[in-house]
Amino acid sequence: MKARIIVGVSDARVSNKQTDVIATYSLGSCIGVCLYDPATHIGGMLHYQLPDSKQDPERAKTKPLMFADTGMKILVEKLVSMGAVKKRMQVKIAGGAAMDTGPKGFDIGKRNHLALRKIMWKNGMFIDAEDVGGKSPRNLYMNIGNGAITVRSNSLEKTL
Amino acid sequence: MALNVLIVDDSSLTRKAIKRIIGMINETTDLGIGQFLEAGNGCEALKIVNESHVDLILADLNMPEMGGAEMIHRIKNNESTKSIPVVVISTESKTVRIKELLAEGVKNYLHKPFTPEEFKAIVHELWNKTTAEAVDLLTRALSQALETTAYSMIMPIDDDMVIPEKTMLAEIGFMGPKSGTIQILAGVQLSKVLAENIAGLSNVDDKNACDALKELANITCGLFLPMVVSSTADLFDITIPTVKVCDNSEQWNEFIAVQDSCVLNIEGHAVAIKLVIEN
Repeated sequence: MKARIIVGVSDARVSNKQTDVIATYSLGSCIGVCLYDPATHIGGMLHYQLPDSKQDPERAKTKPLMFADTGMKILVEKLVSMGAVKKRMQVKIAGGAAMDTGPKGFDIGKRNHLALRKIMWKNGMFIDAEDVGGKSPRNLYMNIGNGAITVRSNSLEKTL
Repeated sequence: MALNVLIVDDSSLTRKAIKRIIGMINETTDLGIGQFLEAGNGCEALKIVNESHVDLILADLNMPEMGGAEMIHRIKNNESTKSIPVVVISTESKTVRIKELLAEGVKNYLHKPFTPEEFKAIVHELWNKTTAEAVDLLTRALSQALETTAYSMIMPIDDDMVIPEKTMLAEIGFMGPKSGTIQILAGVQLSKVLAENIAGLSNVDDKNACDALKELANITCGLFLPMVVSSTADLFDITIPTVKVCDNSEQWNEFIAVQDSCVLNIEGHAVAIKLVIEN
């Protein structure tokens, strides 16, 4: 029986139990980041809302997982402390949609995506696969056993 | 920039009349008209369009050999000529036919006989529009360049954005069917951020910042030109970008005082760009 670990909004979860599935729901302009080390079967997922902690340092102190930069730092450090190796990590991401509900003209989804690409680039990591943009919300699932990432959107499922 | 006008009409008398009217307007209000080219039918016009640089076509509809409608169809379906604005000048007033032509990309319609004022209005509208369109394309090119090389993006203008004091002005020139320069003026601070993003550096100095802005100008130009002319291979020569550094707000104030400069917000930093088209 596979146990499902749910990642909330501005939240991150990690696991090294091969029967676990980490999941997050309704990624709109938010982005879900999956990091997975295939050698040690250690994986983690972050669901962040905003691109940059510098825009709101106060909130970043209490809710660092809300932002791409502070959230990624915490997730990577956590996985490394569990024994994962940064160089081996597979990076797969989903989300960053242009939602009609958000404030117009701010392109939060796109900014979230660019911010992550910048962080990855600075960390010397490449994004291996992504399903970003569009206008539909997504659900994201990560199988800790084999690192398989599934995205579900508009009742269609695809593997990254 | 001088506007080369091609007049297509089978009557040499009408061509002379149109030329005279435009010439008269041009003397009183400078429309920037350069050379007049003339063609007696669609076939001749297509030949001229392919061989010379034409900025505006004034075309009659009923002509021997090849009529105006067929000529417009061919011009609008050819990648290298489809961006040339065409204004139809005709006695015909069947609205269906005119609507069809407008749908095909004809910019405007002048009913013959036309008054100098009507013509003046059309040229003004046309010229302002093409400049505005070009600036719009330049902004799009810059936006793409920022996203793909520096992971930054243009945001809506707001009151909180930082107006730079120390600035760097990057300039890159292009020569081809159209010649000109693209200028990007950014604060030293933002240029440093761009350098960090482009090269993944952590300690950037002014030289890195200069290089970053040069790189941005280079890529923007490379993206912009294909938007203006679809096949840019061998058509344009591009100069090596240069950068001028200014330690006070003088450069910024001077730059944005000019009407045709455009201020953008790159993630909270004000940046100004300008497109200068030469003759």
